[in-house]
Amino acid sequence: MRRPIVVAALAGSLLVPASGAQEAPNLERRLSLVVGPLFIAQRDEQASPVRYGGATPFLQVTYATRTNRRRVELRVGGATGTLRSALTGAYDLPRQRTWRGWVELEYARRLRASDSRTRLLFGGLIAARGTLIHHLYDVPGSNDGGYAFFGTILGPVVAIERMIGEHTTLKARLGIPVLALIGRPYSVFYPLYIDHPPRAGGLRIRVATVDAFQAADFTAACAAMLRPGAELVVGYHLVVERYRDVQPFRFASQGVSLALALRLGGAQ
Amino acid sequence: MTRPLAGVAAATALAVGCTGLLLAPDGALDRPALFEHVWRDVDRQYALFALKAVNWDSLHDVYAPRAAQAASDDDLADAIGAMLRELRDVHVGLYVGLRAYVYRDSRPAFFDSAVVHGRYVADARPAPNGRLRFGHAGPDVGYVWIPNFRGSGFGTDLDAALAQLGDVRGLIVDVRHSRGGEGQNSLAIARRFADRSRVYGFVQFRDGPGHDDFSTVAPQEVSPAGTRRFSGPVAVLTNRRSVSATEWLVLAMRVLPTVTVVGDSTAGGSGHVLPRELPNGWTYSFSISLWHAPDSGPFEEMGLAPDVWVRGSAEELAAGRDAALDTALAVVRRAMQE
Repeated sequence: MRRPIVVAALAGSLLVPASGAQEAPNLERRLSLVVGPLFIAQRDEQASPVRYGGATPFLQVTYATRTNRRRVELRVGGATGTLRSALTGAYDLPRQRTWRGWVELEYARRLRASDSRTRLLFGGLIAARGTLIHHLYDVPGSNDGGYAFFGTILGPVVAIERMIGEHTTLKARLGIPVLALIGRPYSVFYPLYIDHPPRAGGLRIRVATVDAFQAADFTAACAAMLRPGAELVVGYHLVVERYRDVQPFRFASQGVSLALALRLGGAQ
Repeated sequence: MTRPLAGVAAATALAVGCTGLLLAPDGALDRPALFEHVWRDVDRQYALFALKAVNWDSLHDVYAPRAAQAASDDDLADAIGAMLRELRDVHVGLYVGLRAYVYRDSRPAFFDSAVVHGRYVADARPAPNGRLRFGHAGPDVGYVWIPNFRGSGFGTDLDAALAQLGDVRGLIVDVRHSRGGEGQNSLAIARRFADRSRVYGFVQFRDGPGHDDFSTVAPQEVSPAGTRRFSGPVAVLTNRRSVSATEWLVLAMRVLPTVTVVGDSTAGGSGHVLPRELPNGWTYSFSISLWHAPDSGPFEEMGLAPDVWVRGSAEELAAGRDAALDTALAVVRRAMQE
């Protein structure tokens, strides 16, 4: 029952008449460079039943176009670092070298209920996210293991933006994937299986609904205008993912970021 | 304004410090749960059930009660270790601190490096990276001993050894009692003897929850590499303790026209090893791939048979004689005369 409701809501969001339909498009394009530390915790039961975690730097480039009525945002980012075992708490063996990357496209339309200082938006998100894990074990005479989890997700997004000063805006958004294509090598991920990688096997792609894949991502940000056309954005990012299958995977990350957003053209 | 910002910063710092709490707790640490974790993991990942003709479900019925009744961690390790030994796989083991619960191959193997270096290869010396020892087993026959394939620098070590051995016309590569290591090192050695690209084996990985779920058969090739290729006759010496990545070397060498394998069959520990860990800190490992020789199929447990069979004996070794090495020398010299 849950699934049709969510899908209907997502489809409906794209049909909702935008507020102020008589307004001019007033197109604005912005490019942002987002950097900061990302605090990751993950448990890939293909690799280990133990949780691994740690801080890594992350980088994201965001390209956004917006009018009074809608917002489209493309985000491309990644992070890499070494995670330690929750069991040992140390960075010696065992440890995980992790790469996390994402490409996200988000479309949101302004809802009619918005007032002059507050914008409510509703829309959809399609995103491809991947996690690679090079696991170094503390087993006598052992090889390393390579593991991977890829997800292409689709789901609704809600967002709110509120001006709290003449040049300062608070923003928050929440995305809840309802459908996912999960790519998961059954055993070791060959390109990361450093020892004598064979040319065999590959990804298994499965369609997962919220029964098997639960996730959410939340972003909050405070944007302050430095000068016309340039903003400094302080942000907080939360992503949680849980995949229940014969190959369970759990991932959570929280990040704080600093971003410089530059207007490329369009209205002020 | 400062106070709310400081509050937000503090809350954010607290939140990001607790990222791990967003995941459910790690697996249970009680003894039956640990046993079940190992049994289920092996059930889902181990590649050689069919070859071993082992009924894994029945082994669960046998050992799960032992694990449930374990009065101590030692008892639990004994139960898990005994269950894993039933697979008769040298790559399968449980490691608890300094204790290893592994399958020991009891078949005889006779090799003593002291006899080789004392009587046959008096000028044996290590190569620059220390990965192998080399010298002369005769005026025009070189000798290379590779005790394992762990670390790096194997290819360059062999290049250096061949350069220093000068114009030897035949070579003996001794991998008896060689305990394996990384497959890329085996291949680095074999490529110094390859005349062209040749398929030397096929590999399949376990690729699904069913015991018969495998990836497609992938051919493995050995192709020429290195600063110097040795094109003269080569004897590769093997025995029942030549295991794992060492067997991949033998597999790659035996398809080359200049190579004769002399000695006893190899150990038959063919698969890639997947290490694992338990929430209580114990570790274990097992095989996740199935290798096939091009001519004879899977060689797990039975090993790769030599071209010329010589096992030797403890008495011969005690008398300072290495029968397999004598035969290898004869094989190489005969080939040099042809």
